Amino acid sequence: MKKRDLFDMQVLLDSSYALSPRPMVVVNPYDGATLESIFSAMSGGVVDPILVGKKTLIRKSAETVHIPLEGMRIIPADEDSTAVAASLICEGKAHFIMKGMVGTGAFFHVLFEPRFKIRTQGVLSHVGMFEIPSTKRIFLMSDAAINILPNFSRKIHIISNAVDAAHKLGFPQIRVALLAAIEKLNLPAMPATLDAFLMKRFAETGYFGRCEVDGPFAFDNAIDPRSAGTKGIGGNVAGNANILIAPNIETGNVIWKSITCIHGGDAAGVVLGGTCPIVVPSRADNAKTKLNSILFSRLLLE
Amino acid sequence: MKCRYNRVYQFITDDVNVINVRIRFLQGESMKYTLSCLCYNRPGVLAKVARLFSEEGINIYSLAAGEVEEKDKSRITIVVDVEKQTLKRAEKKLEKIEEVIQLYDLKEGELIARELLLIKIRVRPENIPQILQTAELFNAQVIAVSDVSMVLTLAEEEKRVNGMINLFKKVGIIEMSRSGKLAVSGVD
Repeated sequence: MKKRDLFDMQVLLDSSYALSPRPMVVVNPYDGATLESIFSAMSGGVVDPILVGKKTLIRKSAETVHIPLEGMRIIPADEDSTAVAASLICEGKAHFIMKGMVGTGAFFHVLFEPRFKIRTQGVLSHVGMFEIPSTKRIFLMSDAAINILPNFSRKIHIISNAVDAAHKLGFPQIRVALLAAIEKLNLPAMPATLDAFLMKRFAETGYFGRCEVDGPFAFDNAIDPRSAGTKGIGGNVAGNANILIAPNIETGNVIWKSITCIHGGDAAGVVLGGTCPIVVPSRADNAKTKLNSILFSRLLLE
Repeated sequence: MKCRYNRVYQFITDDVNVINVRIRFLQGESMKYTLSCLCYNRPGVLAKVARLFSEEGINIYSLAAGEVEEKDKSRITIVVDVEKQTLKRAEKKLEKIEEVIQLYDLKEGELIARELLLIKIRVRPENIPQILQTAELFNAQVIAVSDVSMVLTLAEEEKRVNGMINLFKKVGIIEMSRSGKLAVSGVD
């Protein structure tokens, strides 16, 4: 994998425009932001969209936001739109899938029916990408959306998924920080510190491949070298992490929303651990975030 | 359905256990009994109780003693593996000890019993997931950890304590200590 510019997230995501288009199936694309993002990705030659859902609703939504549907294949489906989309993935006719106006629970429930063979032995996890301009670094973070309170075994899968994504994105050095509130073990009050301490030890087996894993770290000491230096926290990961592993969904979600809402930064997210990337944007996400997520997923197909 | 089958299976296994216990009793084989001895908290009581069992040739399987809700009293919970007749003889002698207030023969199913285990195990990077999975399975708590070892605690029924110890044998037990059975009679 070619080493990409990892200082600017948009430059990294835009590198997907140089790749060949891949078929992407979208379930119930009835909202303007989803259709806009699909249109932009198609116009950039990133995807060949296949829209699955009620034809009249798709056409009506497209007319509302003035999105031409030329070049987009539409497969009519009613209640079984997720199943139709999943069968396209199963048959290799689509290489990744995006969720539109369908409940997340129902979407995954159908998607992971054994007949579609999308679920693997691995654990699904959400990997988010964002940048913090002051750090001049792109971050991957997991898990803000899928795993509620992962145990140690699940965290192994979560880290693996994030590290795999970083490799595919061409991160030259992968530094995984396991987040907690403090850097020291605090038992039994802070179980996240125990998992982080033991994960660092477990990483010595080489299970995660070429990367460095360290923790526990408070957020500032994971991303900011000055904070880490002031507190005298040693190691290559302290202050220089580019993968952040949250101990639970609350922490992950709050960091994710803080970055996107307060900081106003661009973000992209994808669910990994299945046979293909799954784009599961929030309904409140704007077209830009949805497009970023499509581009992110496309990069992971390489 | 699965749940119903489990329940039926449980009934069958419970019945089989009861039958096995009755057969052993009729054959005069030794069995495990749990005795709860409420006594005054005075020097030498434990020695008297222990001596009595020794004189009867009864091996004490586990013994736990501690203060009860009243400050001057203690409860000694003793698990013995013995024939019923020998136990009866020992019980009569126990009741004659001056400091013994009351003696209960707690029957399985009528008592609530737990054992406390502290276990220090060897930590190797490759064993960490297995250790934590086992701890999670038994609901054991990690109370101390270093790069090379970990101390876990578990308060559970004897069978489950034994089960966890067996699984940790493969990992490497450095040191362990168990309290012996602690018991109270079941709720009304």
